[in-house]
Amino acid sequence: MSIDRTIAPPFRVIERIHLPPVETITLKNGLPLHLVNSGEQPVVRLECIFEAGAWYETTPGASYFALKMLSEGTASHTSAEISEAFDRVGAFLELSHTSDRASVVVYCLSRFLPVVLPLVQELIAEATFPDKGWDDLRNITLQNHRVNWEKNAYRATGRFREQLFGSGHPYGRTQTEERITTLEKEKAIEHYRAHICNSRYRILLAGKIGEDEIRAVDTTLGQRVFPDSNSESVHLDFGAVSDSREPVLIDRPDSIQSSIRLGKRLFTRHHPDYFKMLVTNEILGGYFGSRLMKNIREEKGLTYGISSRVNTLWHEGYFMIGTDVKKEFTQQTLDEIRKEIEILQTVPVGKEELQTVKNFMAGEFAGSLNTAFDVADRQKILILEDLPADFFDRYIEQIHATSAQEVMELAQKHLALDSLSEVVVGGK
Amino acid sequence: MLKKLVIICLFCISYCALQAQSSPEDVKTFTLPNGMKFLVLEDHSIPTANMYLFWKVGARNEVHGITGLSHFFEHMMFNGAKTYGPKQFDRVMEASGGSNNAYTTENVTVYTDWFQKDALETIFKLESDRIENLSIDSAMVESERGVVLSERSTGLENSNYRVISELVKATAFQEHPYMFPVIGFESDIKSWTQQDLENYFKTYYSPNNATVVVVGDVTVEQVRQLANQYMAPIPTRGMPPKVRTVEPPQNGERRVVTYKDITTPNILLAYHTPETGHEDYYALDLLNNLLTSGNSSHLVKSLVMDTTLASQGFRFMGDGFDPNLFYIYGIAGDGVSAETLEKAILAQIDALIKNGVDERELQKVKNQKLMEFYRTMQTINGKANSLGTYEVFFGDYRRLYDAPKLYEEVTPDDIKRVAARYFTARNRTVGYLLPEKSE
Repeated sequence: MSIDRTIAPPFRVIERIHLPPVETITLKNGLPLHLVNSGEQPVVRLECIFEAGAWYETTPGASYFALKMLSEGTASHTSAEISEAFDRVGAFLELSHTSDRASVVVYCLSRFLPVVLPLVQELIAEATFPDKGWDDLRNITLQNHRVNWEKNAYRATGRFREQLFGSGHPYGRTQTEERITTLEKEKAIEHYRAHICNSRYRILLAGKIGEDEIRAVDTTLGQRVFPDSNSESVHLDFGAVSDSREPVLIDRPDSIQSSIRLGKRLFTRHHPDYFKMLVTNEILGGYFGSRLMKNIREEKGLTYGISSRVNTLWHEGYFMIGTDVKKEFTQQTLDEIRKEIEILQTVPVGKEELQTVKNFMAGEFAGSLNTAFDVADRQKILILEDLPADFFDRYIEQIHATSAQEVMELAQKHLALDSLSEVVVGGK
Repeated sequence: MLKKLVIICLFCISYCALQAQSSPEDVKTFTLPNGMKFLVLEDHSIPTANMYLFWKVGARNEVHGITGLSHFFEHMMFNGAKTYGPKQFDRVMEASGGSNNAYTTENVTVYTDWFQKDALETIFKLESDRIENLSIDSAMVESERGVVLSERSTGLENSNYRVISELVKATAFQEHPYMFPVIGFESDIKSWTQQDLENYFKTYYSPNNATVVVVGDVTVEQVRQLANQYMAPIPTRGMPPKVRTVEPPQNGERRVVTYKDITTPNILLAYHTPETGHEDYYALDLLNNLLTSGNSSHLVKSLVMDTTLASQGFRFMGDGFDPNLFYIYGIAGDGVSAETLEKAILAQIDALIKNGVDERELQKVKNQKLMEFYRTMQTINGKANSLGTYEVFFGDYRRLYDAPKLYEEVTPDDIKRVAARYFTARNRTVGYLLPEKSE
């Protein structure tokens, strides 16, 4: 049978996705428990989310160490006993730290949730910060920092954020040897007491959940009474940010490659341009078929990969283009990136390309909601960033509503070439 | 033009979660007359589906001069065929709301397509076009050669593990092609010829060398009909030649050293272990977890938590159609020498061989494995990759569903036995990656 391969079959573009709702219960002690109940496998993810990230710390590094010290020892158990207790039931403990928040996350088989919950409660309420654990954690952190510091990509991203926000800003701070070695334990303990131990937090439980699981959470995490005061976003002076747009070059003679970062401060998900900027970014460097990939990887073969991204944090956001190229191609790559931005600012994107990007973004979004944990991640954004419940329901609709004219205008408005900061680690 | 190919209809969909776990009976299989085998699992939890194509070609099929070709085809398969020209594979797929990726190992090359359910036929058209009529355009080859060289440089520059593992592999294997890095040697990448590429494609991209897995919001009948329409007409090119070289038993420790601008030594130990599918596989995999999975595991506890001899440690057991390597990797702590770290790792291994593990500790890693299994099987991608992996490496996808039981049957004696059998000095290759200044 002969096949006419030039005629593609019709298919339908996803127009709208409804995010499954989250159910919220208030525990006996007033803590909110958010539930995402779905999935076919008997596993759950418990997440205790504290307003305790770098944003709240008074000393750089205090929030990171405060969180990581939770598993180093409690009033009842040593670090080894804690590890053993989680490992024994096959549970995975993650102490997740970001610029904004700190989270205690546990993945476990549903049947072991009652075993895990008292341990989680203990970490949160009874961490003792033993000296040995402190010294070990500091040594390991220092070693890992040194290993990462050898990588151009790591240095470039850190230096780029510092350039955008300033080294004193929670979003611009990076780990340094000095900060790791000089941090006093008392500072971490202060942070722990103020923002974790005595602070109200949110609980997100996702997976296959029944009445038993909810009851188990209530009888453990729901029992402890908190002081009236709560952690609030403290207004701190983060220091001045340089207005200089002079390119930063960190020369590393032994490197074969350069890591390039180019971008600027942007906005949060609340900004009216947010969805349309996502489309603009996608066209430029957000997916495999983007203009930057086509030009710099496919046509010129200068890099294995190049991408751009709209990063949203709680209080602000930033836009960043990143790639690794051979040193001798560094300037050529920078020139090509700027050329692509200029084209985006001056020539309306064609209908076909725009439709492709919209379809791709819609398909990717639909595919990103495969598990209860995926849904919980989206719901978490809505809850923590105080976004409307239909924010993600409108995602695809907003993507489809973006016009070529708007893409061009947003590229002019938000990607002005003289507003971009450039960081290169390696050489030119 | 693309826009003429696409008839756009708009519709609303709702997310609904499938509540029942899948079973072997839910997986339907069929084989086309040209030898291409299909596994199909319906999963209507989200309105998307995937197609994973497992090709039995990887670095083990290469020889000196053409190392890296398997991986290079992972790139070239996106660079144009008869109907869909250069880069059109990606463009058409993206226009239909889909995306793709691929990976190459020592054993297989796997192409992964993710798409909204109504694009299934488009995916069949794209895949059948490149399998039957891939274009190996010389200009494309040159451009892609640069991309792969950049990929190789980026990997070596940013991953110390890559640097040391290439060296250790090449030392542990003296005869078998597992000695080759998957990405290829730099000089080979620069010198593959057009003829090399054409021969390689004709040899290994024959329909009877592929297993295709489709999981998602599609029906078995849809897949069967489209497979017959688009894949069945592709002619079989004959089975690829078997890899005949067998690595002889290693009869003495081998050591290798290299240098880089790093702060503390990295060490890598590698032991020869049997092929995936061997009866010792499950015991070795649990031993794998016992060593470095979780802070209470033997190596992490003794080297990272109780002391600071190492800042990081992990292990890796390579899958293989042929006997491969079990790796143990450590990054030394501040002021710790490679020799000290090596002694500490070996002391832990010796203790494991001598004392074994008790039931309680073994149950711990069995629980971890069960947890990993369920997490993988949560997603349609995890299901597709696992089904394909078991079908290809174990010869039967049903073994996937037996895995929890087979892990459960491993005893402490099994652990002690496999540790003693494989973790011997004569069977070991030790690699040091040292700071430049220590030379």
